[in-house]
Amino acid sequence: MKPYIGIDLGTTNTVVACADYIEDGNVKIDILDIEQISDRCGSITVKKNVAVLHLCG
Amino acid sequence: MGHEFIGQLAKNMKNVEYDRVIYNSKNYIGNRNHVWQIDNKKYTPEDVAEKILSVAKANVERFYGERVDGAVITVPASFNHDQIESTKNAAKSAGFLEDRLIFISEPTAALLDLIYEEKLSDKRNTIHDFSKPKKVLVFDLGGGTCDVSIMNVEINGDDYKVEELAISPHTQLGGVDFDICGVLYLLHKYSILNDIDHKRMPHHVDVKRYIFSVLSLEIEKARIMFSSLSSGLTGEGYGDVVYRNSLENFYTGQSFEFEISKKEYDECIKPLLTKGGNLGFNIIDPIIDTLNKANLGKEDIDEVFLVGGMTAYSTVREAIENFFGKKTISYLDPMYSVAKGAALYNYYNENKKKIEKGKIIIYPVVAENIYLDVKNNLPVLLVSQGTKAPYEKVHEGIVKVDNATGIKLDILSGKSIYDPKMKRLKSVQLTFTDIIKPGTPISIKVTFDKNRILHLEAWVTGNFKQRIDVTFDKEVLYDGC
Repeated sequence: MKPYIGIDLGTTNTVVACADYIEDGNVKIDILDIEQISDRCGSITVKKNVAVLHLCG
Repeated sequence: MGHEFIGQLAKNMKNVEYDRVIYNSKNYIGNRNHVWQIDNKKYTPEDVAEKILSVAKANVERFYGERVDGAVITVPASFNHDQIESTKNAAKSAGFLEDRLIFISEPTAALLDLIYEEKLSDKRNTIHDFSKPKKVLVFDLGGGTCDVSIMNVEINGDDYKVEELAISPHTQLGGVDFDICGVLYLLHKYSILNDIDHKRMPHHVDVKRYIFSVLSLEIEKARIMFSSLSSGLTGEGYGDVVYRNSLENFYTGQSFEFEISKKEYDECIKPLLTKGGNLGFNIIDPIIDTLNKANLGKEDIDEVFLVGGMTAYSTVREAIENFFGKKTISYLDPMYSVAKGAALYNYYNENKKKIEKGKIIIYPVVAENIYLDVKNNLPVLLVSQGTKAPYEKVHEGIVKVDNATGIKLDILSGKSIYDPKMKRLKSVQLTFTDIIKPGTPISIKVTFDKNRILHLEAWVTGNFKQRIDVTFDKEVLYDGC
């Protein structure tokens, strides 16, 4: 599955969204929160918040 | 040498290791002279953007298990070509491919998200009808910038056309200014409580930064609480919501127990919301400026759309609604709509050949008037603000050679050729491979690409083959935002 990404490179927060075609004219957009957990190993947690949108037509 | 952390953890560290945290770096992008130094390592704003974009890219690749080399990245509408180019360089360094990068303005992205949602809502009762062309003013108040754009939105069947009409270059105002107002008020409270002159309180720059970091986080928490608890309240109860906290070891070992009500906070930020407020900048001036640029009155605006975290605060929203005398659109999550609109545009743009119905066309505009400083004469207008990109124009014989080996010219921006506040954006060096006789006219081709990045080509007038090497000076005198 190929993600089409949009990045809001903000001053205080950066938000990444991924759009992808599902089926029947539907486009799904995932919001990925960028967050590093505090174990000082640089690992990253990804929170997923799914929104389903419909493609026109 | 410590580890580098990006994101919320870094933000939280402002309270602990405030002198080792870089924040608001976006406000300085495009300014190569701005550098932070931590542990003898230097970081430019472009470096910081690269690191954030690298983390973003890695997140997506890990999540989807796919390599990602393209993106639509949003920038403030008022970003000039230097700032966009610097963001593009950061994205390239983060591993994105240049030809798969597109930059669109934040208000445009948010608007795409809105009209897409609205189009879908025909199944769930449309609130704002975009089936006829509409003029939409997008007010975007983020952490460090305040962008106002006016766009013409047209939906023809399944095709969207978003045409930028005018954008505001006001970038000196952002959420951080709302924090500063609250911080100064809390400091004032502390000084009264402890009988100290707060203006003389912190002597050391580190102490100042610490106090500002701690109190600005408190103000942010208070504002979030005011937003959540005051919704639905009206009348007296509306301003009576109170935020209380106690800070241990706040200053010289003393703790600081304080409270601030919504009413008090709103009074603090009033100058930022009122035209003629005593701070010299406010949210109304950029709106008026953008309306003037578009030759429109506030009554010509069909819809006012609010974007950016600060517009979620009711008092900000009310100030804008009072100015326009109408309700604004702000029901989408302002934190996510920009990224969602950008992702949507990326999808449509990448698949435009495959998609028969449903196209998104964006007509971006140049944010400011750009001039070339022609020696011994008035500056020449290269591109006027509001010009649609992509754009190109050849200026025949625009300058004359005064030095046989090369010429250095300045690129300026301002409201008019007589603008006393005209800014020098950058210098451009024209280097001649062969000696050219002084007095020979030089032609320059000006191009703004689809990402609103400026390119220049030069040649000897009348001899297109005699190309002249054009390089932008590394030294940038432009003071960012």
